[in-house]
Amino acid sequence: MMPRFPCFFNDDSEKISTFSMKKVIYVFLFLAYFTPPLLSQVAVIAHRDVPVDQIKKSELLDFFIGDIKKWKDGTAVVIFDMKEKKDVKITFYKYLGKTSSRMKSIWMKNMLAGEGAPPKAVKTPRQMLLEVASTPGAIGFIDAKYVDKSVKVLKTIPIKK
Amino acid sequence: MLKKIILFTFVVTLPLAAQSSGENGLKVFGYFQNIFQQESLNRSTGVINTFALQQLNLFMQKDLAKNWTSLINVEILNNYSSSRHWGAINLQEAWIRYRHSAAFSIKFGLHTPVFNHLNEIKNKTPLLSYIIRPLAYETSFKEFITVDEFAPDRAYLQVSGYIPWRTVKLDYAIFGGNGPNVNSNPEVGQTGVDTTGAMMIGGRFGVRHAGLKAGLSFTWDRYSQLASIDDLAVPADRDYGEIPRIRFGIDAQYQWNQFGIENEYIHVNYHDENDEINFDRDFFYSTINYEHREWLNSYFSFWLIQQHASPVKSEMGVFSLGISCPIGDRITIKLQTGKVKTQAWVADKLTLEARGNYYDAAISVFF
Repeated sequence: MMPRFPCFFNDDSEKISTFSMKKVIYVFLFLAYFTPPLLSQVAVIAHRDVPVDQIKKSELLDFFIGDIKKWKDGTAVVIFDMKEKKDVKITFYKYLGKTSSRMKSIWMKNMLAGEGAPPKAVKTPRQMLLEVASTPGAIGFIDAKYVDKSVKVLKTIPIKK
Repeated sequence: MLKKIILFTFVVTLPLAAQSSGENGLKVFGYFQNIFQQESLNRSTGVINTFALQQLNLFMQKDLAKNWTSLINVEILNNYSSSRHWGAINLQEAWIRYRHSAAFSIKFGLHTPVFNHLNEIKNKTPLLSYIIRPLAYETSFKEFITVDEFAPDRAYLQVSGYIPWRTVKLDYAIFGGNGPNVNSNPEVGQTGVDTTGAMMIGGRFGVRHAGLKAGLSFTWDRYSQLASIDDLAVPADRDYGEIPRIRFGIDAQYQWNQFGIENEYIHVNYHDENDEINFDRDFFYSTINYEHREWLNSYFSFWLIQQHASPVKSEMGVFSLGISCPIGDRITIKLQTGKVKTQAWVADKLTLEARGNYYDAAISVFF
């Protein structure tokens, strides 16, 4: 026998109780459909020796489009990209107000203007961690659940689906 | 025999040394764009179908020292073949740049200067969705549109950078080079050398904020290409040998999520102080694009070239539609179609009206 769901409005009326439960389920389904759930976070990570502990969105954009090429202490900024276009990558570039194809176009433009090669794109979060941890001045992004103590987290961005 | 061995060794090992010199070594890269075109722009020739290598560019770039970079860009146009007298090879860029900071960098040597939005990247086909570019920038049309008159193609010294101010970036670029008074006749003397004391100066001042980029551009030089009409000049004592020319440009771009719009206007003024004969020109283009997917971008564009010359006046307008489909990072398939309308007037009387269409398909490869 199915357990009866407790009624919050009228203990004596099963009809009303069932009707209210339906309403709750509908409201829940409605909210579940239209509210973007927070699944995870993108962590903006950097080499442990970079001279900042947090970063503004505008600075992050300047690094990734190549407008700023050095950290405050003069170390060259080395950026890393993710190869696969998944939620983490989409969220990160959307946060910067770009699409990943527009970023590619900016990097190609920079290359053809003699500003240097596009960033190295890594395949896995593990690779991103290793590259950022071992490259002075490095900055990249990763699903926050993979972050460990080998890198510094400068910012977190919620992933919305 | 020894000489041949040494020469052979040198020739074989030099590219290998360049390839193996690693991250800070010589970087060689480039791109090309092959097209298939069908056009019906001229009644006398009917419909033309053609394959062509529209453009091929080879770049060599090397970081020479901290903050010092050099770049060479060689451009090959229109199925280049010296034996068939087709197309052209141009040394498009050969410069060295010192970058002190984002606010200041200086470029010495041959380069394409910053003027409006498209001038600097007009020949960088992998960056453009167009196959046929907005007319004033379509370098492969040099034979029948005076492309160089609208925007400066070459400069030799440029100072540029940006100054951040709150959330806005203030861009500036100031450049110098030769005017169009460059000797191309070997019988007269050294070719490729400016024949006047007047040089070209120009610049662009702009702003960037979020998705907005806008600016004002200008150049000033003296123009001697009208010297050939000197004898026909009205009144007869008018000197067309060398007249001041000012180019003025406005550009505005806005990017909002997948939508983008870009507009440019160029006015070329020949300061001939004669109301009866006029050589001024205008160019305008506007493009709206939408990125449907990472692999599909579409655009609609309108271009208009006007020559306000009197007594002869002409105008060419183009409506163009196209899509570009990147396949990975290095290959892009492009399709474009356009409707062209050309009109000419003599003493305000319409003497020519022609309409035509073109259809283009292209593959652009970056290597």
